[in-house]
Amino acid sequence: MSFVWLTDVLATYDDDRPAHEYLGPDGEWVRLSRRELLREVRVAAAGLVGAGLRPGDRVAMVAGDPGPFVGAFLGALWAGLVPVPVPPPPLLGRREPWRELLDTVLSVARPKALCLPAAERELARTVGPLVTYEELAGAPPSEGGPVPRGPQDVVYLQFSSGSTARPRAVAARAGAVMANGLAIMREGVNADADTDRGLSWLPLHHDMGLVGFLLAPLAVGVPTSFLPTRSFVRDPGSWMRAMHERSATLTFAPNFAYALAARRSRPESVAALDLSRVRVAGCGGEPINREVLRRFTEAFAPAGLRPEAVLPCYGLAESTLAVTFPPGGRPLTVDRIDAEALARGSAVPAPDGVPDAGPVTEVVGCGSAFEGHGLTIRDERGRCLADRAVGEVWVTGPSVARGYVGDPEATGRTFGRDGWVRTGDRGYLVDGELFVTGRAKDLLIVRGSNTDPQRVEWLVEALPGARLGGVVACTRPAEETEELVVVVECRESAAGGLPAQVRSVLGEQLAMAVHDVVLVRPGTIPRTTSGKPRRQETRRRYLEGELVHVQ
Amino acid sequence: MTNQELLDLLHQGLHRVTARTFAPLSLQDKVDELGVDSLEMLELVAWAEEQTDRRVPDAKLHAVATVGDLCAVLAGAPVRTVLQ
Repeated sequence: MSFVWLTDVLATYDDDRPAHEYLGPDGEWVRLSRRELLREVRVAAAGLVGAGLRPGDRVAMVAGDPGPFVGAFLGALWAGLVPVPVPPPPLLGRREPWRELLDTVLSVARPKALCLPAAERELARTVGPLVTYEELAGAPPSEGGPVPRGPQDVVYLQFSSGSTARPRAVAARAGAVMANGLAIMREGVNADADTDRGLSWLPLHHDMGLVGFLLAPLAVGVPTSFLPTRSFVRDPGSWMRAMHERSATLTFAPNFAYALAARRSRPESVAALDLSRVRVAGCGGEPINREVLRRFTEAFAPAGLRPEAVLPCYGLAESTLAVTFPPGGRPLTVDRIDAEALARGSAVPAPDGVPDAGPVTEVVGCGSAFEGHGLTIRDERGRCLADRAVGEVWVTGPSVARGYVGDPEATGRTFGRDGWVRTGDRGYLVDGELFVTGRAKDLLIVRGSNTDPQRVEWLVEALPGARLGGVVACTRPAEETEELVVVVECRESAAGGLPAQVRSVLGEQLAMAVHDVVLVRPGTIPRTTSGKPRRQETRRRYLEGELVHVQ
Repeated sequence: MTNQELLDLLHQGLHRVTARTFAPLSLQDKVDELGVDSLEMLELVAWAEEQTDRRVPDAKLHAVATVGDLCAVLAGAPVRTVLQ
């Protein structure tokens, strides 16, 4: 059977069934039928070709408002170009770090042109051709069919949203994108184009937004509603309100968004919603905190949200997007394990009902790898480990990429010639189900014990006065071993008692000694554009004495 | 509202949103240097909008660099009609 690429699917969009809808600034939804979407794609393709771009050319696209971006991105695929989604400027302030990031991204991707909204033309200081979305929308539609693509062709570049200093671009191949998109929609969420509707506010320069809600649904014809990311950021309640209004059944977001949605929810607003149609509220992209998911499902239970709709998943851009999904319709799998054994690399179930049995850690199960894909846990030398032994997660299969663009060194470290990808994440398997415990490179290694920083950070940020998401755990070198340092953003009024509480909770819950508690003002901890704390950069600033302590 | 009323409102909002104390604001203060992160900043905007029953269009926020800019976009924002 010949290979079917997304634009081949798009070419069949010649009816009036719903395709996309975009929330406009006036609060109204702009609806596109399949036929109208195809026309937009043809118009954008013609505009890009008219701007001098040819098949194989890279074109960077600022992924702000979904409406103009989606048409242009798909138009680029139609014309055989290689689009490169890049982050939009922040809504308010912090322009300079964004410009620096954009410069770095463009220096890696080296596109022929940059596409952006006319209103942002002045913000980018890029030299090189600029094409506005408004200009693209004015072209007469391209008459011909899509430029044919084979499964090995690189169809777009996906920058990883990791917390590393230098962003890396994964070269996404058509075959991998289709394999992953179909696995997500068929095996992962069991989608039905006639009854399901996806809804997303996720940034479209991230794999979860781009693959999860633009490319994968398109592959099987599931209609999708898009909110601008800023709608959610300015008003987190807009997410679940939109799920209700649009009768959406599928959504996804990282852990922090579920925390925010639950924290800002008001019972009287929740009571007015009907979320009983929601089949999948997927969670992935960062370590998953069981407590956060519990708070979210409790907050929205009065609206009919079923707890089993919450699906914790695992994936990474190096495998297009998703690797594991739990089977639908089952409650969360939570593994209660001995925290001290975990530090020694072993996930030993904690005895039930035994008082004073020692500290316990809860890890959420993320399901098993898609059919035809492989997932193993390995030690530092690449040897496969048994069930419940903690090591690095390695993945393989038709969804994985072959390398990063222009970075042979990182490609060599991550992508094996045998098709296995080293993810840099740590976890363990139980009967094929993956339990992720953290990132390998951030691991805290103190006196031979390994602890994932996220476990420390979750405990500390729950203390009164500490800021949610404003804690970094790292180590500093010492004579015999590394020592644990905890950097905490906190209110000045809470500063007095906090160090003792940090020491006490980590001693009790993780049996860890804390060598330094650094209290800093909120906003001090460096973050990625997606808001994740940059642990390595925080550690560097600590070691260089650059962190300003709260008095 | 006068600039001073808006400054007082934003000062109160900073405290409400972050539960921290802040020195009185001036129009020249840069928003990046207030000691709040981008999410808190947007919470402040949302809070001030609620208090003044106004809605600042997203496009206007792009140009905000100082507290004075923020006062100006709040003062010039249309009264909220839809949403919620």
